This record gives sequence, C-alpha cells and structure tokens, in this order.
Amino acid sequence: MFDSLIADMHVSRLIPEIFVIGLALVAILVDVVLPRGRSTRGVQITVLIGLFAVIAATVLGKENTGEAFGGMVVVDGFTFFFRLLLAIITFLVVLVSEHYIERLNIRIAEYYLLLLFSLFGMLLMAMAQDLLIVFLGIETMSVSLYALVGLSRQKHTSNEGAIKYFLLGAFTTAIFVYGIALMFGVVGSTNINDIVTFLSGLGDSMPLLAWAGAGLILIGFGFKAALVPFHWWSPDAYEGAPTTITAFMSTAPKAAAFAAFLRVFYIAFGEMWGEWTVVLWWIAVLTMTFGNLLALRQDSVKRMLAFSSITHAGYLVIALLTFDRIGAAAMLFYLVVYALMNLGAFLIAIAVNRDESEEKGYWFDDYKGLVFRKPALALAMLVFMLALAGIPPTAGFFGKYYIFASAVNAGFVGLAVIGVLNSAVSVYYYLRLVVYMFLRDREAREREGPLWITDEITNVVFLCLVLVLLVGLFPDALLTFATNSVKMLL
Amino acid sequence: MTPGDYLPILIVFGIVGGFAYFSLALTHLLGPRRYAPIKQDTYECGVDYVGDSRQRFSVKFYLVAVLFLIFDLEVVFMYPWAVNVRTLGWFGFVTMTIFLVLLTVGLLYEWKKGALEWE
Amino acid sequence: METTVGLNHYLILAALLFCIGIAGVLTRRNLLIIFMSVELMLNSANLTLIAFSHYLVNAVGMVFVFFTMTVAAAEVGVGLAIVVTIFRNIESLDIRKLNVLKH
Repeated sequence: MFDSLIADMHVSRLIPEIFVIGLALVAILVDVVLPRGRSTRGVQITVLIGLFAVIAATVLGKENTGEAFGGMVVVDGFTFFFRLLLAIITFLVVLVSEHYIERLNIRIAEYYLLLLFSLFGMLLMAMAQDLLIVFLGIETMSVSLYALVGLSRQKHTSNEGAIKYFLLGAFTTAIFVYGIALMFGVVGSTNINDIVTFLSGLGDSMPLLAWAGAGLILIGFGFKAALVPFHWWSPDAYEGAPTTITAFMSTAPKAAAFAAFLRVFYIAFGEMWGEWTVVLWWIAVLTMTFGNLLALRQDSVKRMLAFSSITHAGYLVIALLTFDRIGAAAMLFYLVVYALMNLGAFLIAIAVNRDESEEKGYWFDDYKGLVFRKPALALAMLVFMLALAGIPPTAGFFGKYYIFASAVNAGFVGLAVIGVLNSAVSVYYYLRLVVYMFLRDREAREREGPLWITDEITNVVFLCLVLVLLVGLFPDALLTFATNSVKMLL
Repeated sequence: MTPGDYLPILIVFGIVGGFAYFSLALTHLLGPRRYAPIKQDTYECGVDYVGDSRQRFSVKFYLVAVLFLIFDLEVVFMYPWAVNVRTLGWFGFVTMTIFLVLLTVGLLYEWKKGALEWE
Repeated sequence: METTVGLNHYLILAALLFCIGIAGVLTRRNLLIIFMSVELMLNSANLTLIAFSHYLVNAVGMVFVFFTMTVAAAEVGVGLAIVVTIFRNIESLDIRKLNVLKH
C-alpha cells in the first residue's frame, strides 16, 4: 500500500517546489549557524545557488507533466511557464538586495527567507487544481509579503503600508474562504475539475449559491491582483515597502494572482463565463482609468509606478476576459514583458533616490539633469519608460498590441478602444519623467547627490534592458512560448 | 401552533421589561445619593487596589503568545493522524515525520534567535 | 410543531456572523477590534464549511477548516507583530492616526 500511495502522488513532478522548501530549510540553518553580521551574505549566496537549482530542475523536468497529489495540483505547460517566470524574478530580486537592505538598515536573513516562502506560495498558485491549494498558495504568499512590507520597522510609512495591506488582505481572505465554502456546499468538492463537471451538468438552472460563491472568489482574486475597486491597499503597501520588495510585489505576486485567476475562472467557472465578462468589462475599464488618473498626479516616482501598476493590471484583465487562447497567450506575454520593464524601472529608481532614511523620497525632481550626470542610466530609464508607455520598438508595444488585438478578435472593440486611450494618457506621466531627465537648472545642480549604483543593479538593469529590446525586435519567440503554455487550458 | 399561542410569551416579555425599568426608575427617583471617597473606590470593602489594570505588558509576552499560538495549532494536524495511525501505516508515518521535521527547523530557528529566552 | 436545527439554520447563523464581521471591519477604528472582526468572518466561513461537510457527508470541508485555522494562526502571528511595531512607534492603535500615506 505504501508504494502505491507514493506512486500515486507523483512526487517527482513537484521537484522544483520541494527544492524551494528544502532551500528554505537549509537557508534557515545557514542563518542560525553563521555568526551574526556575516549570516545575511551567506544566506543570500545559498538562496541564489538554490534558486538556480530550482530553475534547472524546472527546465529538466519540463516533460514530466500530469496531475500530482491526487489531482490537487497539475503540472503542465502553464505551470512550467509560471515556474520559470516566478523563480527568475525572485532570483533577480535576491541578487540586487544585499546592498540595498544594508542601506536600509534591515540587514537580516529573514528578508531572503520570506522571499522564498512567498515564492513557494506563488508556485502553488500557478499549479493549483483545487481551491484548497489556491487558498494555501495565496496565504503563504501574502503572509510573507505582509511581513516584508513592514520590514523597515522604524519607518512610519512601512508600518502603515504593512498594516493596511495586512488588514485588507485578511479581510479578503475571509471573503475568499466564504466563497469557497459556498461553492463547496453546491458542488460537494473543491477540485476545479469536479466543479466544472457539476456546473455544466446543471445547464441553465445555476443555483444562486454558486453565483454567490464564484462572486466572492472573484473578489478574492481581484484583491490579490489589485483591481479597482479592490485596489486600495496597493499604493500604500507599495510605497511603504522597501523598494526591492515593491519591485517584487508589483511583478511576481501579480503574475501568480493572474495565473490562479485564469485557471480557476477559465476551467471551474467557464460555464458561467458569459455573465462574468460583463463584470470583468467594468473592472477592466475602472482599473485602467483609475490607475491612470491617480498616477498623473504623483510627485514621487515610486508612487507613480505603484499607481501605474494598477493600470497595467487593467490591461491584463482585458486579455483575461476574452476567454480564448489568443487572449490568454497575450496575458502571459504581457506578464513577462511587464516584469522586465517594471523591475528595470524600479531598480533605476533605487539608484537615483538620494536618501533612504527619508520617510518618502523618490521625487521626480531628483531626476533633473540625470542625462548629463549619468547618460547610460538615463537612457536605460528612457527605454523602460517608453516600454511602459507602449511605444515601439520596445517589448511594451507588442505586449499591448497583442492584448488589444485579442480583445478586438474576441469582439470587445469598445474595450480595446478604451485601452488604447488609456495607454495614450499614460504616455504623459511616463514621458514627464523623461523630460525631467533632460532638464537642467541651477536648483537641480544643488540637489545633486551621489547616485547609488552597485554592480548587481548595473547587471540586472542591463539584462532587463537587453531583454526588453530583444523581445521588442523579435516578439514571436516569446509569443509562441506563451501560446504553447496555454494550450491545455482551452 | 398558531401565532396567537405566542401571546403569553409576549406578555411575559412585557412584564419583565416593565418591571426592570420601573424598579430602576424608582430607585433613581427615591434613593438618596451621598458620595464619599470610600464609596468611589474600586472595591468598597476589601483590599486596597495596587494600580490600574490598564498597565503595559512587556513585548516579550506578545512574542511568547505568538509562538505558542503557532505551535499550539500544529497539534490540530496530529490528532486526526493519531486516531488513524494504524490505518495510515507507514505512509502516514513518513508524512507526519516530514511535517515534524519542518516544525523542528522552525523551533531550532526560534531557539537560536533567542526568542525563547526571557532575559 | 417539531423543529430540529437543520442545515439552513447553520448557514443563516454563519451568514449573520459574516455580516457582523464585515460591519465591524468597516465601522471600528481600533486595530485590534478590526482584527477580531476579521477572525469572526473567517470563523463564519469555517462554520459554513463544517455544516455543509456534515450534511453532504463529505470530509473535504472539515479538512479545509484545519487549513483555514492554521492559516489564520499564521496571519495572527504576523498581524500582531505589525500591530506591536506600530504601537511602539505611534503609541496608539487608532487607524485614524495612520495617515502618513495619502493619495
């Protein structure tokens, strides 16, 4: 019996996840064993080596697909795509963090441990085939992030961001669990394949309880992906968090939230899709417009990027609501592109910010004359801003193009037009930063402080820059990869 | 049972409420009021009080409480296992061992970080 | 008329508790009380799960509750840590005093 149970679990399909947990345990032991002061460096190196092994295990185990743990999780091309994306983002963030957390005076090994735990949660979300695993993944990710946001304990902004994120997060967790409970009451199972079998057997007589359950689950995902009107935590949490964590939060957890959102809604609630498109249509419009309007008024680059990340989530919802393979592939494409350009922009913002002990900082004014002080950095920022605004020949252009094309293809022409108008508005605040970089006045010269550039930041920014331009010139390879990854979903 | 049968219950509710308000109002109107320091004390008779109950606790209490909470709840997973240990056999044993190894690393971390030391 | 407590009674009780929790989160100003309201909401979800689990004769709901409880404990751990940090910094638990971040 023992052997057959083990064989049924297909543990080998979860090797990357097991590596992450094993890595976390080893990292804890490294932290405990090494003397204080030297332990963070040791933990960072351990985590980097371990994450490399995780990525390698993912690539080597690409062909080992199928369900595992009795259908609780499924390993397929979609899982593979997100495993790679999430592990690579985490790797890059860990790589640039050591000097930054030293600068912030929060040089503790727990920083890396929490990042690993949240990575584990996100991996679970990407592979979950049961609402229980979705829930556990979301919570593992979120609880680690609450702590990461509040890591600069002396800063009021960090405290405030953390408590707002935490209270609203716990609030939506309760709503999410209640939604799952109602769904369980209707279906008698939490597996998404069972849910779709049951609901499609009902035909038109969908019980009210199923609608309520699915609606509450939608709220849960809307919160995690920071969609309007569930976005209130995100600007504050993003501003309060250490900036490396902001870069992480606006890319990886957002991708994981959309991965779980897509799998659950496309498969489990596919039967109800016609009605959901109306809701998601409004959510998409509100999310894009709202994020844009608020981003227009910001004086802080960190806050501007935080609000604009809400707008980008709106574009992703457009791709989501097409409910076809083209839209899903466009969403995956955009998630990669967005991760690259956002990571690059945040890292440059870290380099330009003068004083981390300030409560706020990251002012637009600090960028005045940047192009004369450090041309390479300013040009890199220029590329990232063009990419975020969706201007060719960068990857950002193709990301948006595929999304709007998929919307038109699925018959949502109005939505595509609103999306294009919104991205035209966003050009204003992205290019405003570019204009600041080319300005030079006397006042700006007085404000000039040393730039804070480390080798790691230079390397990662360079990598992001090259990839953004490469994907912009040759988008087909990534699009083919994305299309292949969503094949099994629809 | 018809709604009419509930009438006696309603009447009892009325009487109870009415009596309570009536007696409170009566003592309020008739009773004499004389204040003295001794009457304002927290305990009119018995020991003198030592201080306010709203004093601050050391942060260490929170730490211990939080650590206790986490480890206390893990036992939830052990009870169902313990009840079914024979049916689950080696499979259950190995699974529980993995779970406990994870917990032990957590405990080791707490211990080495000094979270369990009071002073 | 004989009435026994049935599934609907549990569901209505849970729904009421859930609404009380939401009202608490939206109206109270003290961090700890908001926190308690959230816990009330979570427990009402647990009650729903257990009631369904019992009436559908399906253990999945009960297993789910174990996980919810564990997750709630982990959340409490992190949440209390954040609350204690805030109290040390601003000497208050009133959310109206947390207003450094404005839109």
